[in-house]
Amino acid sequence: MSSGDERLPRHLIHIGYPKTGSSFLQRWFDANPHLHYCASGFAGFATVAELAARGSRGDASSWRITSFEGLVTPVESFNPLEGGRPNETLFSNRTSQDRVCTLLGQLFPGAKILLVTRGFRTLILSTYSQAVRRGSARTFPEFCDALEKLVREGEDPYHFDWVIERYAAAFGADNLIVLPYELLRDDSQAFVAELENRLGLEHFPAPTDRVLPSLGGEELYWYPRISRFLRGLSFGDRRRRRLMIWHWRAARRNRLRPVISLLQRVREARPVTDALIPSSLTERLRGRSERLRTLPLYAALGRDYLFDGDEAE
Amino acid sequence: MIGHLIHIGYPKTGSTFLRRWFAGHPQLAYQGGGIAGFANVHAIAVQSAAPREGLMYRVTSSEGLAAPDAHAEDGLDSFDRTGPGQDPREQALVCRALAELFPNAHVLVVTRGFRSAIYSGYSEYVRAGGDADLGRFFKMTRAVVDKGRGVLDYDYLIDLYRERFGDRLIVMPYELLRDDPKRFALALEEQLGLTHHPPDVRRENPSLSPEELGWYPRLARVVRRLPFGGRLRRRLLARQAHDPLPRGLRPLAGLLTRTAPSAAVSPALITEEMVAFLRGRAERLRGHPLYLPYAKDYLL
Repeated sequence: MSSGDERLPRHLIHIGYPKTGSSFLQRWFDANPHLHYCASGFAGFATVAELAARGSRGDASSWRITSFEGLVTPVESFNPLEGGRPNETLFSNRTSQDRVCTLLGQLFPGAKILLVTRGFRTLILSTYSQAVRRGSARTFPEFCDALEKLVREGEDPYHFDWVIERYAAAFGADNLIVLPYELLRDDSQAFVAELENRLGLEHFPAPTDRVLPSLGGEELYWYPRISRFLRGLSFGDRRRRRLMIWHWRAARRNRLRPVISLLQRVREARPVTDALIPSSLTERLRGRSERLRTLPLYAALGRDYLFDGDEAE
Repeated sequence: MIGHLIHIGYPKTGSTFLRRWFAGHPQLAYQGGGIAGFANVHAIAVQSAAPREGLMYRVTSSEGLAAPDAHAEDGLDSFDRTGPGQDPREQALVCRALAELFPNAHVLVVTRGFRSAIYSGYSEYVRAGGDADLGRFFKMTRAVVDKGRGVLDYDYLIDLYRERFGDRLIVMPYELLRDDPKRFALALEEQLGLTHHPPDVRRENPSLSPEELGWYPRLARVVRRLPFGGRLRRRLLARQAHDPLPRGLRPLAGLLTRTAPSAAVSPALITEEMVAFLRGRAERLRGHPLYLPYAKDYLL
């Protein structure tokens, strides 16, 4: 039988954003029999040897999947600890985003891109939660200041219009799927059905369990302060490294929740919520998702995405 | 623009040497086992945030791409896994998958003259625990051809990749690499527009010696006849797949090799007549400047 008789699967690259249900999507990619996905792999292949072996069998799947949320927010290291010290890289930047897009376009020009966006307020809060889970000692105001500085310099990674234009130019507008995280959060089955519709897939139900809930407001207040306190202790390098690993693990799994409840009773602190995001920052983010305004799935999300003319809550 | 070079083999054509050169060349990004110089998809994000200056090509390398083995995990007889046969349908599927994923890539094929390739293929077969002598190995190879499976059909592979990748297909002879690695590197650099980076000419993964080729299959036959239980036999044969002989028999093989060298299987045992059935499978290489000194190796 000629190989030309067989339909080849296409390639879908899911690029993020972080904190937009990537783990949920990856579990769905993994379980779906119509998709060929391998965690951390390229187009479903972990290694080139696997590409040689499995590629030669033909493929019954419809799409090969590459998925990593960090593709749209690239940084020099995703490790929580660098040389025994906490990695305090909070944000990616536009230059690195541009490089990844160029590289993906050169390597995989025939691919389709999946971008999942999230309203700015919850995206900021959830990104902060992720930084805290990684052991960051930055307080929320410091975090927002750092982001606002990047936004002012035009280097922040959250300019949805810019990202959409950049990927549309590299892959073609028809090969770019943009979906809101809010749909996944509110109705994961509808989100999956929408994605299936765009990819021409048969239905496969969405997973129902939630993997990694964000930290609560009190925890977001206390974990960075605990991290800062631990860093201030005068230990040798080796002991400090062990302590940082312990803290990172504890924060990742929110193991210090009982301690934080106690601290909160002893000294009540104002929980970190999106109400603490300075209006100067949200105003700077306004008007950066105008390309989403006309998309039906975003029609009710004007306040989340700070469309021009829509007032923030 | 940074290009993508996919080195697809063939097996036993200096792939280890090439990978060492890829890894050392300042204008190439190569990661063993990886794809396009990346160990995993995370590395794309990390390397984009801290890019390497002067990069011209990202490299993917696996000799299994020219000689794919769709049943590598199915535990087939070692001849099917390591013999010189290639399934043309599997080759076509891999070519299509590569073209679909990486339509802009350059593809590098390194070929090897028929007699030498068969001899080296026999060495690989024996290394993997094969117990057939050279004569039976030839018969099995002929049977593979009769069953429609390709054997070193360079014309077929070149046509496949030429159709998908056009002028971005680069074909080079292993014999040039063997005789003059520096010239081989220079010729490849010229085709890719790279500056010169001298190759490291250390030899790795050499074929078995003629004496070892003579004795190992015999000892493998003895091992297979030993009255082990099923579980022990399976473990022994699994080990044999990674090592020509169980470690305990290695000294015996060495002793036999020294005491009876007449059993040696040398390249001279493979005559031109024996590989005549492969004639006409390298016609696309006729007239290629790099192949002119090696026309006889390819039965041109």
